[in-house]
Amino acid sequence: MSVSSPPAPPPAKQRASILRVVLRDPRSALGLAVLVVTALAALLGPAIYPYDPIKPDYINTLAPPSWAHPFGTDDLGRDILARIIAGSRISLLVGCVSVGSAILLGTTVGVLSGFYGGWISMGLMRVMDVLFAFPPVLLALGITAALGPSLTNAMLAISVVYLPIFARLARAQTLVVREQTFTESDRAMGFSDLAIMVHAILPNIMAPLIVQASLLFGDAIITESYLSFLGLGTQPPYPSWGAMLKSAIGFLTLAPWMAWFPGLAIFVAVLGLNLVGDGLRDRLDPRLRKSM
Amino acid sequence: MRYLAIRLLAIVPILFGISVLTFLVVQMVPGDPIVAMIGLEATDEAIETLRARYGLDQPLPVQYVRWLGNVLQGDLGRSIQTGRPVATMLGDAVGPTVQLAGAALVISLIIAIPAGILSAVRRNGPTDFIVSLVALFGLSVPSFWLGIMLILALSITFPLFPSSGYVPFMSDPWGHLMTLVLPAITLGTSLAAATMRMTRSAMLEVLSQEYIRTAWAKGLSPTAVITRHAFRTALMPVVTLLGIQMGQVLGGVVITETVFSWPGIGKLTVDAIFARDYPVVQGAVLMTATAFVLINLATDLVYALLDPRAVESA
Repeated sequence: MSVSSPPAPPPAKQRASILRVVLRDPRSALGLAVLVVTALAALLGPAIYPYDPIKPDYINTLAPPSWAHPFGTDDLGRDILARIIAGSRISLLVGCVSVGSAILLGTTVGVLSGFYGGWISMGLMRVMDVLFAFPPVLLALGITAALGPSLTNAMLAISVVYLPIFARLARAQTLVVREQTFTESDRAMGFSDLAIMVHAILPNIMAPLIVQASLLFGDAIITESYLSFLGLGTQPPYPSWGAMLKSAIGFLTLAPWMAWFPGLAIFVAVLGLNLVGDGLRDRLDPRLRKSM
Repeated sequence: MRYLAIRLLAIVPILFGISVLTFLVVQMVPGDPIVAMIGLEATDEAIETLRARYGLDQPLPVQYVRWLGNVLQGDLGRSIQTGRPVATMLGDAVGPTVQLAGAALVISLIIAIPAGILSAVRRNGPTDFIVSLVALFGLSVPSFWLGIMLILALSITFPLFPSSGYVPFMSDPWGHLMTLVLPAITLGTSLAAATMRMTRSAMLEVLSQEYIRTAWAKGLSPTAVITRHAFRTALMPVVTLLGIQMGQVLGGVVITETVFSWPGIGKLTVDAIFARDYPVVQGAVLMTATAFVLINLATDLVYALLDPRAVESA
């Protein structure tokens, strides 16, 4: 950036220390370990594990868990572990894309609105209020229903649901930071608005946003599985965890393992994210830290 | 009174926004509702006639104003699928949803409040550890999977409760309660987990305050200190949480009702989405979102009643 940047105030070391914060807390470290295993499975699993998650195998339908198929097979004879591994890619993608785009856009709206105020930003925040007034799952459901069922639309819908959360949080934080002395002094030194926002405001409002993002990541995975379970998210034959549970419903008496493992996968991944999120919140959110 | 007036005025633009968004979302749906209604082989003439009859040939703002006018008079249109008035269909579905949500809320409070208090009082002990662990698990488990597991365990392996269906209370009270058990536990679990955590942290904060030490010093019994002095203050954030949780409940019923074939608003919404029955989707979404806004308003008012200081600072 060509704008000369003001010296970054207090939390300069924050970014480097987030990992240390996570590792020092036993809960978060455990959660991080779970996430690393999930991520490794998503990245390397399909290359190592021999079964195809999509191609039917009509000789081995509804086989119970065994050495050959540790999690059993489904109604089309596909290996359930292979499908869970493939599904972890979808879940991680959903979390990254929907939370990522919501935090980018929401923070932009929130910071601009908190920094400048004014007519346009007030209008934007009122739109956020309306989005916030819908029960979250219902809003996601309505948007995917309107756009048509697909993974892309499900991710879009989930990020619209999270948008107002980040916008409100970023705005509230910006209003506080804007009044602080280091922001004032940057302004007195003649830095541009953009430079002040990027170098003075953003680093100081990041902590609560990161905590929120880590908690919403797990929520995004669950919401996508809801949508896919209802038939509005990932479409067959692609193996999202929620879609696997949808097809398991018809075989509860014949092949209960079809229902056990995809749900267990969601549970473990979300548990890992919640562990990390809780640890981050206790350490990074000063208001909560005081009361702990 | 002034606070009440301000709060009531503030929800008007929100409700207006909800109605615009609900209207627009349904307009965005790909495909022609008229074609969906009478089939692809319909003549152009027949389509145009129907379009005019439903007012779909008018510009969007005109359609919106007309629609809103009808909605405000309680007319939500008719179902494309069944021809029944949407308002009647919603009216039939409200009862089962309110019962399910109410039962889930009661279950969650019965578990969460004592567990949260106990966990705070025995801070860092084994009880606290177990309660916190259970709360964390409850927050991480996807509710529909929990529902499926409950069906597997308690209706298939040990057939104690029915896995689906709905029996009206009036015709068979016992059967009604039995069908309610599994869905209510499914929906109540994540609520209980969040309430447990909030009760715990609110109690911890209150227990460290001076007036609690005074209460102990006065020689009051532990029960009196904890329930009468501490819990009354700790209740405030819990009440706020309950309001927020209603959003979770109103979304959660969609999934839970689908899993258990419970004939409430949630199942009606999902069925209507798949039948492309847009007047029903529109009506159900509008009603649920409005209910959520009103519940939050009620929460704020209860909060104001419990803690008059909140009114002054607002």
